[in-house]
Amino acid sequence: MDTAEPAFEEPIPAVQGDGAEESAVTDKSEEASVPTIEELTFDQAYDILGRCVTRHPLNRDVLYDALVYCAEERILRDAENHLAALPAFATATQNQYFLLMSLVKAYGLDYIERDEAGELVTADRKEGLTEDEIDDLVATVSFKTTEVGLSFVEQNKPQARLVSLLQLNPERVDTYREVLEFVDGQPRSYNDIKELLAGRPVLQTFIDGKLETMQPSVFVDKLERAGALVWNNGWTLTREGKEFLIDLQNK
Amino acid sequence: MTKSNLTRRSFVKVSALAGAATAIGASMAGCMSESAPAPEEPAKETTATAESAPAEDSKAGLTKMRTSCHGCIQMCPAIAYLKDGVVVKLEGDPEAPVSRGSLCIKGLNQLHTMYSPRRVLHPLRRAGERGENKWEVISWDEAITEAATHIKDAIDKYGNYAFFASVGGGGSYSFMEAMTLPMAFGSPTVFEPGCAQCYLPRWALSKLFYGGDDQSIADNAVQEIFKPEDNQTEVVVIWGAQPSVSETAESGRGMAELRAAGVKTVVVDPNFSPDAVKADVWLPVRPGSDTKLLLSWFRYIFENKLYDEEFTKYWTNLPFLIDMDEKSERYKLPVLAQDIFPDFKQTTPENTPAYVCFDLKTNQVAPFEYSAPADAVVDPEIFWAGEYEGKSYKTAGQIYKEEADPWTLEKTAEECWLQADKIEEAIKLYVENNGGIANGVASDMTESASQVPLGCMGLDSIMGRINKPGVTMTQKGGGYFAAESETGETKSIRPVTYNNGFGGMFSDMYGIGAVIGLSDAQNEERIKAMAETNGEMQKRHNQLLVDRLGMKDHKGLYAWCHSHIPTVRNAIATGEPFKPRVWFDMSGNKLAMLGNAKSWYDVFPEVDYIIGQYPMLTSFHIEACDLVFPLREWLEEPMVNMTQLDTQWLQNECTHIGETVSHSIPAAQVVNKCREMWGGEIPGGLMPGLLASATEAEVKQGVADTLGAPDWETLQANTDEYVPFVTPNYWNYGQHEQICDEDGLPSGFATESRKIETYCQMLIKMARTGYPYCYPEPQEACADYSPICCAIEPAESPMESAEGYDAEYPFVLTSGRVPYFHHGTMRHAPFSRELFPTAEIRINPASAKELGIEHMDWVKVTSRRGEVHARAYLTEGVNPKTVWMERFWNPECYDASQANPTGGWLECNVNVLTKNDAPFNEVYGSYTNRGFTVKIEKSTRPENIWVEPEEFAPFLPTSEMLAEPQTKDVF
Repeated sequence: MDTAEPAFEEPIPAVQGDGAEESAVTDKSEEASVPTIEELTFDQAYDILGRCVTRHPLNRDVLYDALVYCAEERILRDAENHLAALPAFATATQNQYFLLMSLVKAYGLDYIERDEAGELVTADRKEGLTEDEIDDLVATVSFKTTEVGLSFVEQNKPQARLVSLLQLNPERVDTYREVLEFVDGQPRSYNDIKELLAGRPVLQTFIDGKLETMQPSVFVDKLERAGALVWNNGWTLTREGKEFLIDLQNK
Repeated sequence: MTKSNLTRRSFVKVSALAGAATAIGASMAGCMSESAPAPEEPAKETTATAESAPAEDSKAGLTKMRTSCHGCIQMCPAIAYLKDGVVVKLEGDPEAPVSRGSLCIKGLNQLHTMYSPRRVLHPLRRAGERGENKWEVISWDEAITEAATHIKDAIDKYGNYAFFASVGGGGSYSFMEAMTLPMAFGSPTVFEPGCAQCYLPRWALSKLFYGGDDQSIADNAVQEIFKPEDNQTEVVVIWGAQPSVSETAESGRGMAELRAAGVKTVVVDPNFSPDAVKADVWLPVRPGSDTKLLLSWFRYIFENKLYDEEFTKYWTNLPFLIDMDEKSERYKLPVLAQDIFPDFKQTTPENTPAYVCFDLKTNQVAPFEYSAPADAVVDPEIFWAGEYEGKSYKTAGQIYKEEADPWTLEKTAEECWLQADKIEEAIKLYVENNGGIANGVASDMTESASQVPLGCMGLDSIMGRINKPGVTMTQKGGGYFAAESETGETKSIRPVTYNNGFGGMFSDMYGIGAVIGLSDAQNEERIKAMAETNGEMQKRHNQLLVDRLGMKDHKGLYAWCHSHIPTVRNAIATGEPFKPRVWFDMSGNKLAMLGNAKSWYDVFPEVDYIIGQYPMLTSFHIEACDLVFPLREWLEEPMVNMTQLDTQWLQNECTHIGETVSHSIPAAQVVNKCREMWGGEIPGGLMPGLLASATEAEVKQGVADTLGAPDWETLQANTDEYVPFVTPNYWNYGQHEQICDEDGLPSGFATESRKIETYCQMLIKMARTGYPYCYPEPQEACADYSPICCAIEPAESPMESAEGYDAEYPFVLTSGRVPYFHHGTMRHAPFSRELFPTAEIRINPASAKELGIEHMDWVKVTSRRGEVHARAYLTEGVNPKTVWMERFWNPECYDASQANPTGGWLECNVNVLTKNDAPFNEVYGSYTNRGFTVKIEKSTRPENIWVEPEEFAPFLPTSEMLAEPQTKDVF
């Protein structure tokens, strides 16, 4: 039985019995018509956005951060610079523009074009213009998180993910806190954390009714997925991770 | 198509396809004909005669190159004909001793797959989302650096276990590389959809059972029966295999020759395969009930005393007394003489234990020392149960007899959907004629993956059909049991079996794994000595064994160093006990090959980075991979083929296009790059780690070395001089009776008892500690494995009385191969697709009638995991409650010319239906690809499934591909 991940809400079905209820066929021909957001229910759009964000783990945190950052309208250059500066972007598999446009296609960001005066360039204004004329008309491209995107951000806040994580395995709470404290202040290598947790009873867990020894990486992975840790030449706390640690310590 | 709408363009397409089909038909003609050459007429001359003058004319002006086909694993010797560097014709090599000039459609497909527009000729990086067929061509330098960077990042961040590898599915041959690549990165995780589901159980058990070759007719293990001269085979029982389909030109041709020569055959197969059609007795066994049928053979043979009594008494362990005391340390293990006779003085070496039997000479329990039968002081009873000094014992033979006892012919007929008289007829054919059992992959794909081979080998063992002319279980290959002494003299030694990898290679490399046949003290001494020279590697490797996923329960997987696939999948999904997260897949289409494929699709988003390598893009690459390395096709890649009898052949570099490389090179280059990035060594990795050639020069020199040539250039220029390479002293018989120079005893077998362990006692030890693989540090114990064939009812049963019965799924589905494809490969071969365009399901006409299904109607097949569609092929050749599909159907439908392109893996893929959860085979963790239940309903053709020949035209070689320049080695 799969364990629900305390991360983005994209549960992975168990091996058994999930059937073929959801089409896994990926029809991606260029000509394939994409429904507008008006043609979908909110939940449908939310699911599409969820799949987009969680489709590739190396892009996941960057995509989530893009939704957060674009809560205010951001011009393309600023958004690209912001994403490029994220530690997680170092291992992303796509460039910033591709990632931003993925969120646009997945109903998470609005793609906004404005003229020199800052007025919106709508479809009506483009009608009858050549591609060159449209290029001349559009002075800036920017992105703003949609209602669907904002909802996704709210649902998947690191704080909420961390709370879920702790609730899932209460016996691990102390160790999670210890790892957070360990990386607070100075980046730690994986081997540092491995040494910290080596031989701890908390690494023992039951899987399918059998006692197994977990690798310390389980704690790193889960804290990272919950948004508390980030790799930046060593494991460090995210801002949310730091806030969460303070909360934990105060409790 | 009417004349009026036959455009010039479509005419050309149709003509090309029709012409091609004709050509294949002509070339295949030799594969299945059953006209044995007249005794005085050598096979070579017969084949030469068949090369008529017109055929020779068609080769005029062409360059001829000897090579080997790689359409399937048997690799028949072949001849390629080239014009301007393009291979335009293929045919079998008439000098090959078994295939004798045959080449089947799988080989001929290469003419198209080699020049397919689907070929990957350059490294590709994903340019879109996973699932989009959008790629960017990048340089090899970029590709290697990118792969190495992601692997290094993951290991730096999450530790060595973040890396994992896989292989399998046909079309690439990186088994050794996949096994050793994780070692290089210090990770325990690798899997292959075959392995536990294909061949490992039979291969590994034969080593534990008697230390010799297994009974697989599909994997080149069975050779003896195909000897063209002095062939003493009178009967072959083909159990769960269809050589005429799976390996048409070699084993299929070989079986055709045997039948033509009058050899009797029994075929046990739910499907009326071409071999079943030609069999003297066909037993269409209910899928998954083979263990019951096997036990009925044991019962009949025991009851009617048809076994070889002398051989069973002295060369098997069935007379050994087994400890039946549950509280005893040796519970279920054979009693050692010293355990109940404290004063017993063993005269044999410590590595040859003395056991206990019930002696018919004295009617007493007595020590049973190893000796030649003629020198034995006891006359051991095979079937005995009783008490000795207050404790209960049974002989291993008695345990087997009791297990078999319920399985009368009548009960077996009822449970296995057979006729009792046919079972009896089959047994009589088997016992009354010299020969043996040859098996196939069927049992590997069920929960009974270990029990069926134990039964098949057990039958041959009690019939004494081991190491004899005409049988299937032999120890061939030359050099058996020989050892070089310090003086350079060759002496025979007590036979032993090395474990952990092929020939126990990792045992010697890293100092792990016990050697079966050495005494405990000898093993301890050996391991200690290795620890002194390579202690750190030994410790690391042993830890990898302990931590490998799924090993606590399924320790048999250690034999090939593989992980348990469903446990890997669940670790990816849950992150526990660790998360495999950077994946290097070395061949095949995992969405075609893995059981319950959708469950794997669901975890792709949990894998950070996926590297693939293959000659073409499959739905797995498109749905999952972030980077794809281009590999050579078999017409381009230097290699040595599998053996045909005692010969080895060259797979030649006939041509080479694009930037493709030999299969071992990408991994070796990536490892080298990682070492460079880490400043020399991979932290936590094993050394030597990866076993792979990093350059084509190394690959070619390796081939030249194997075939006895000084270098590649000399080999290519003088192929006839070096090919075939004949292994000297290949055929051996009665080795176990030959006196061993080391101790003056008969050599015996490479087992713990030095006898054939029909009661496979090593499985009991393995379950409790991981011995002999997980050594010196043991693995945790699990429930004991069965040391004999025992009755197993499939978890999803069509029998109303069974626990796993569900009336909603009334049919039991099994699968097998069709002759057009090998594994998941060749779905882009237009000729084969024209002949077999889409998935079919074989249904009995009576059942079809009840469901209102006509021949070639589309039906929906639903299991408890998913549903697919197929065309109904109505045939009396399956039981009314059995249905049969091809085991890997998975059309590749990504094509811009299609109105509705699709990944293709979901619609017709039998592996959407298969069962990858418990119960697994206890020893190997095999899951259920065959023998699960389904329901059938009439449906309609899915929109995006191709059926008409013209629809496959986009797969035909393009002028651009045929004009690709000849290229040089990339590395």
